[in-house]
Amino acid sequence: MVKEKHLAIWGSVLLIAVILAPIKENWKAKPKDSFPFSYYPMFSKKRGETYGMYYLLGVDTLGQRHFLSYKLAGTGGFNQVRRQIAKCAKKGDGSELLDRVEQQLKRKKKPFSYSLSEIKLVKGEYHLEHFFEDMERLPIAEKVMATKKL
Amino acid sequence: MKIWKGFPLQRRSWLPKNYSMKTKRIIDRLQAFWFAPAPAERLAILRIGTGGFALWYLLSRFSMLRRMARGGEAHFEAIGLVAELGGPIPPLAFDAVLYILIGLNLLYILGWKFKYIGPLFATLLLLFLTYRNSWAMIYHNRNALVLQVLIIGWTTAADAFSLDALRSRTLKGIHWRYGLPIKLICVATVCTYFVSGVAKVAGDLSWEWATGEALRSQVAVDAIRKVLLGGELEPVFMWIYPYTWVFMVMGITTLILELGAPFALWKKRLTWVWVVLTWLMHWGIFFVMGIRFRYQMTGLIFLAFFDTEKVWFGLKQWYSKNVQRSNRTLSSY
Repeated sequence: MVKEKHLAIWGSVLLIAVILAPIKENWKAKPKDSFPFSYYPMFSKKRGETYGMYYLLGVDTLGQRHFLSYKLAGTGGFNQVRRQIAKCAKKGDGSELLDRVEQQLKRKKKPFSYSLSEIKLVKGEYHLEHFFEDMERLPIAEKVMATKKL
Repeated sequence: MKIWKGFPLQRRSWLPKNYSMKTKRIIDRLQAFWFAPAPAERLAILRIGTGGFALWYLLSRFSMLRRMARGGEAHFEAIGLVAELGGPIPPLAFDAVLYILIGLNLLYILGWKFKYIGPLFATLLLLFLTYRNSWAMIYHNRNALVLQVLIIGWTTAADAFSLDALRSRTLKGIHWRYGLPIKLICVATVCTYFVSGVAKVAGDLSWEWATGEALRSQVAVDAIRKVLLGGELEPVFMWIYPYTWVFMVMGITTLILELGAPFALWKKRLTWVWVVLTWLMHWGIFFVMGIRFRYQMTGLIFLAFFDTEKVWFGLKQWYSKNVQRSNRTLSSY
């Protein structure tokens, strides 16, 4: 019984220590997250007035811009595919990504109400206040990483 | 200073031979906390709850998980326990693991040969979810589930409501063996919230988090990501976005709940308040950001904080009373 209690105590102490250990990542120059013992970095990064990210853009025959769904670019959850898109753009694999998007568009059961003439992988910079307060949907800067005519 | 000699339960070689009454009181209190007995049914309910959620996850994400395993090497970045993997495992091997895991999950819920199935399922679930998180993004919404299954899997959680219990037909009663894992789950849960709170104040934002401005821009970044990637904006977010004070209230509440999480174990009433507010916080996150922390939102993460077996015993009592009453009515005819 005593041995069993000792084992239970040390096991518990070890587990709690392992759960708390990732706290040290907060003070590292290059913190590394892991699973299931995480330091939960979400929402701890300072954000500026503007925000830039990679995304897919469709341009219809009338020249109108449409934000395309992440689901066309990969499998997994929203944030997972978002990161995959960014990774593709940074590695210069934008054209391959757009090929996959084109295939997914062809497979799409419910077609769009508009006809796309071009798809793009872009990096856009947006002003957060203007985006949400003034409903300004145009970026303050945009860089085309890859493009594909349909 | 009063000196207390000896210890009723065992010799403590790691403590000085003569330690003070104050130290004794602390040890006694810790002992009373850790080794508080609990009924076998409470731990069994946790086994069924965690197992049920894990099974729901595996079945509802079945197709997505299989597609993900076929996603190619480009996005694979092994983390944690699977960090040594050079690349993704073959899709067929992944399918086999998925099927085995579902099978083990069922046996875990049913409590069959739990001595072996428990640790096996817990270990495989940990490896599986670590592998699932090795595709460019670490999701934090399954951490608590894995930790709880890891604790339950290595204990005697199938001494009630299980096939093992049916076979043994012995009454297990109340024991610290059932109480300790439950306490450990509670401590592990508050620790994860605490770690999350520390990250907020130790990060770039520091205590700015409480001003509301920082949280507002964090939520705005999440919202803009959704719009640009073809998703929908949450209407609640659009309503509250112009009001920074709303974000300030949310920020302060979040910090209090996360950094103050360990204090929730101090008193039963405090536990209730903390659990209810934390549960509401997750629903708030859902309404403002559309992020579903299902394990938290269903309240399953907090089951260990309550005497859940009382609900079961209450229902049992109510049922037997009703049966007796109807029997009496029948016999009177």
